[in-house]
Amino acid sequence: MSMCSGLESYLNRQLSDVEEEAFLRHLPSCHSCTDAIRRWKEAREALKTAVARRRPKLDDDAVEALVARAGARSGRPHFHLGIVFAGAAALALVVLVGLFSALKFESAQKDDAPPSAPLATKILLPEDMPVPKQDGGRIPLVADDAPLLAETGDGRLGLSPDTRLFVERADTERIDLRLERGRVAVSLPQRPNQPRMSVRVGRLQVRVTGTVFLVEKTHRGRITVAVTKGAVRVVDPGTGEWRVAGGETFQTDAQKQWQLMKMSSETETQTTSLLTPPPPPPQAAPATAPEKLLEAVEEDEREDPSKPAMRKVSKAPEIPEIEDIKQWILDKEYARADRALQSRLRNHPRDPTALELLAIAERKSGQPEKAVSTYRQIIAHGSALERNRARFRAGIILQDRLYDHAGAISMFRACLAEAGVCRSNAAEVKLRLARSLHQNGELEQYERVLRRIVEEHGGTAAAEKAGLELKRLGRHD
Amino acid sequence: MRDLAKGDIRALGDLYQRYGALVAHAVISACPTLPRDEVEEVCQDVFIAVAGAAPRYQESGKLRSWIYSVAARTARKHRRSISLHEKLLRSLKGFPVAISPPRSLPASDSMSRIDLDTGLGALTEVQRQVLILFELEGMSGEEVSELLSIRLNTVWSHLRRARERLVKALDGALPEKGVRT
Repeated sequence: MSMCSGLESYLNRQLSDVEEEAFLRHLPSCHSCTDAIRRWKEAREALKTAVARRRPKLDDDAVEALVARAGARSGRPHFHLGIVFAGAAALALVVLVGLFSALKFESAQKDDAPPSAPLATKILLPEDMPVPKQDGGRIPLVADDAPLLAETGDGRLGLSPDTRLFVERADTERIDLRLERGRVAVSLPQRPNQPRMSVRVGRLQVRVTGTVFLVEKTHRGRITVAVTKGAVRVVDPGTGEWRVAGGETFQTDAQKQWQLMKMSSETETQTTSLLTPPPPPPQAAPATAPEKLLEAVEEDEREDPSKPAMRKVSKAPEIPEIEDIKQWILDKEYARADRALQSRLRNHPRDPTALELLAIAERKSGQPEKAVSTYRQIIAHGSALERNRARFRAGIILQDRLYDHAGAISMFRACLAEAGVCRSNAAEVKLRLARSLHQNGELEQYERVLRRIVEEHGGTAAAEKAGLELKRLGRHD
Repeated sequence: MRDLAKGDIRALGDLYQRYGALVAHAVISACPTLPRDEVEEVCQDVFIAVAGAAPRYQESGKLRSWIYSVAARTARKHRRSISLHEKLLRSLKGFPVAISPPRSLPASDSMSRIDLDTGLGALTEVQRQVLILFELEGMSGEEVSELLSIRLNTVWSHLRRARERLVKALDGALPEKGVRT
């Protein structure tokens, strides 16, 4: 075997120890093999680095996130917004009455006047869904794909999708909650005899005395407490205590870095949205084509005159696939795509994929305001990644189509604020932000953002454009 | 897998830690342009699919191959969906396709001069799979052959071409061709 023909076998780890030794001995006298090995080693190292950058971490946080997501999807039927007031439909299975019956009973004893609103908290579940079992004395409240709204007296808890919240204690004195993952909005009016509420999230405890606020914990350990009204105390044992007032947001991460800042209008919208029950679903669409529906009457029931004849609908109208809808939009069949998307959204009103396609169809059919409004729905209810995509795209429409630069600035800033999910296109977002700042007359900010793009994203197309704009200003170094 | 089949979701955590890197490599092979967040999302989709299929899984000592094939299938489905979606976004004038990686990495970072788009994007999917399994997972040619159900000689052939193209891409000799499947 010639030494140079052994190069490939060497790289393929096919040589025996003796052969490998002989091959390595020949290298000092063989420039072509040495060069080929050097170039391959460089390429392999670059490959390793490039793949490592894309490979997700396999740490405890990542495992927890996967287990939580899998648990939330473990074959349980979806349920939509469940909210019960006294006198609601009898088909619902009522849970958690036992938990809050003490509250109801005690409060009735303490207050002379009868309560003006029902005090029991009930959550609607489908009939075939099992009652959540107590988990070590705690009651889990889990929102799967759709948000969940629960009421207690005249207070409310709104859970966004993929949220796990435990009720650890609930009586006339205290309501203790623990947020394991996701986002919960709380509205608790300040009243005499109102039980004190606290929410434990990670290492923090949020103490509430009557307020409207939102708590979020991401799977990367970032915790956010945003107060719309009233005030809360955030306690980090061993570190400190903060008072977070209305209009403020407190944020901390796994490294215990914290900041207190003004609450964005988006966060306020998210809080309000989670605490607002949706409109009741519209009536199911009537059968459009007779051939799609089959009605059968059970023969045996006919034979028994005491039993009413049962009518079975054996085939419901099909809901088109997402890929088909995308193709219709590409083919400019907007009306058809719109009908299909509305049909999907009737069953899952906050499906981010359907909403995004709807926004795209609205944008393409010349309805930019509607498209922005649809993106705002994704921003209110989607995951962090979905929210940021929606912000970016809404910002572009506001900038390019509606010339609403103030609105665009707000969108792009919110996009950048969620830095964890904005890494990949941060430069493009900043460039767009800069342009809107310029159009809005905020020239100092405009220049500052351009400089940041050049400093932080050198080598990118965005940095090149930013450099050109700075040059035009006469500011390029 | 037995625990998972019984409904013990926590067993998924063990599987994730054991096979997470392999699944991530399968996803990156099929979709080399995805950023880390999306790779993580697709990896989660794979393990959720594994959990769903656990009751039907029959132990045959080939769990790694089975998980890899689920990962490759899930990733390809995701790629098809993205491709159609990107087509849709490109049809909107002035609407950039979001979440795209930077066009080039800083020149000073010589160890990572290969941009994933031009480097791995110049390889076919099976070339990427073979290269990543051999070089990064440290599998032997025989193991790669068994995992991908291709002949051993085909593995060596793919490996040779993948190395050639990757080295050329690093030298900048190969023009950008988009992602080859």
